[in-house]
Amino acid sequence: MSLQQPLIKQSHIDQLDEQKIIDGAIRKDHACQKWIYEKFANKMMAVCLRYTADADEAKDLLQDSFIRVFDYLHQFGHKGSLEGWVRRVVVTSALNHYNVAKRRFTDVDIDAVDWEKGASYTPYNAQYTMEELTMLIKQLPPMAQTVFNLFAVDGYSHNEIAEMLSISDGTSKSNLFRARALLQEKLKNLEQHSYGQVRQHR
Amino acid sequence: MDKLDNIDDLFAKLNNDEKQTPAGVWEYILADQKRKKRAGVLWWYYGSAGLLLVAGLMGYYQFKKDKKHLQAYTIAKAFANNDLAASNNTDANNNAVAQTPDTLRLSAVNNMVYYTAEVALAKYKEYANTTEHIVDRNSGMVEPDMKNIIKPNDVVTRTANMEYEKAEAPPTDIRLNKKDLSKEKEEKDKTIRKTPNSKSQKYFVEVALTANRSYRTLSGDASLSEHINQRNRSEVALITKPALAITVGKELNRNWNIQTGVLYNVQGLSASYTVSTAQRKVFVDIDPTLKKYDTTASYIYIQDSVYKLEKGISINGDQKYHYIRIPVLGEWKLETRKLTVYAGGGLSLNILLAARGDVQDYQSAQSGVFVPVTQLALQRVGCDFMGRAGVLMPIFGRPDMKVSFGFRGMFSPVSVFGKDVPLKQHNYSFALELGIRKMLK
Repeated sequence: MSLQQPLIKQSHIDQLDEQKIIDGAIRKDHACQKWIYEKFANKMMAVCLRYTADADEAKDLLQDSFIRVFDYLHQFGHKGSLEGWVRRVVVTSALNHYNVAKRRFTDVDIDAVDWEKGASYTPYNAQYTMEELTMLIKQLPPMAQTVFNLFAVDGYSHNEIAEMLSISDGTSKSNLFRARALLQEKLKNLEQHSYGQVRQHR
Repeated sequence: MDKLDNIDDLFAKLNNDEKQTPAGVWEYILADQKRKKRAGVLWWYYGSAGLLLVAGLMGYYQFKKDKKHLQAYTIAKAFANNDLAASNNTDANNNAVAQTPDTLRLSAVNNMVYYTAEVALAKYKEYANTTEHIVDRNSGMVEPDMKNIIKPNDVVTRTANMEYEKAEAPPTDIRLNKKDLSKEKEEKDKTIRKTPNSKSQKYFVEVALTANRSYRTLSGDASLSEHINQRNRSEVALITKPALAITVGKELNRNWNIQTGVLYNVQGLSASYTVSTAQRKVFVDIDPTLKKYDTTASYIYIQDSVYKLEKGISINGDQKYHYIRIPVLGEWKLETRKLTVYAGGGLSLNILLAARGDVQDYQSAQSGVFVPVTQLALQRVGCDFMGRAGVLMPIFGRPDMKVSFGFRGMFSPVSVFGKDVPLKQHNYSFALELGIRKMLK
């Protein structure tokens, strides 16, 4: 039994447009909040998994992120897409919640990176599964992993990444290069040894 | 098979990836929203309590101020009586009147007494030697330009840098100080107590309506503390709805009374709890009647029932319990015209009349299983120790009846001695109180 009867009945929620649902969620209407949660939860869970070490941590991050979404939804202001705003909250939560920038990151000197080794290799547009790609990213060093996630997957610029992680643009770029180099190396090995042989014969 | 121009493109498709969310996330978020809402209500309680406290302090300050006035006026009256005895110059109301038109008005308790500035100054010089603290500015003794300082009801404190000409000591009979006033009051009280009806005035009947907010804490075996202090504990909240109490009492003396009666209240309880993967071993609460439990499992205790939780289960409960309580209380109070402070304690017999609501097990709810709480309410009769203290301000009053509004805090400790682990459960509640006390004849 709910402690507070929802202002909008669950059965009527689909008849409302997104703007009215957002307004309802801002008023703490549970039915509207649940609609938003159900619409974006699966996508955001994938984001959480990319930024955390395991599924338990990802679940905690997802919970905290949506709590933050509902707490600050009034700041959304219907500018841009709701999904983009929610995703940004989740990513920011990931960076803040785990204090990644301070706890796990170490600056990498661009000159010291041996990224040339794999840079000449370009991967086939093979149908790698999402799990395989996620696993490859997770094998990267923490700083490179986060910068690559932010730049290549979530589409942030180096300027934004530098601001979010409190690092310099150069550090962001160097870690991106390093991440690319390491991923190219891993993909090359993957294709040459196990998966690669199978995929090339498809 | 095409080669990609940029490795980033290979990973960009992760942007559209979706993963199944684990069970219990929405329930956790919902519970958090409800907790925040309850916290918001709590701020209203704290705010109201703060306002009441400020109002109480202001009332107390006003009372102290009035008391100072009374002292000053009483002294002034003594001056006036002396003058009345010595002078035949009185007005139609038999008040002393000054000889010259250039007069200053002094309010005495029942008389309007007029002094010239010179006379007032002389009397002040007498009075200044009798006290170091309280001076009635109406008698115009503080500043040289006395006409400019006459303000009704002004009371000032004499400071070290005020210099006045030393006067002769005043007559003994006008040296009224606080001690003398107390003696006068005691004499009056004695007179009142000797009146034929004074004995029956000691009994009273009181009707009180309270709006409560309750909390519960647990303490006990150290080995359990890590479980008890889990963060989700706070999500189990007792909500006591408005309560109505009718008590009869007897005043033993000026400060003590005993009372008993009947109190009806509705105690609500809302519980929302999720066993997440990070909290595999949690004691949310423990049933006082529970003798054995598995310390590796998770439990939630909702009023009279214990639920053993497993990973991923969420429970929401909203229940209402209708209680009749019969308290026997001893109470100490300090009563002034503007404020009553009280503290007391005693025993309370609790009878559970009815219970409404249900407990929904989300996992079971998949198959539509709801457990009526009436089946769960096992403890029908109980007995608690209770202590309470509060502040009341009269909003209406006459000698035999008083209507007051105030703030009250209550504490009810319950010791639980289970077979394996001793525990103590402490119930706290804070309440706004509206009460009517009628003295019986």
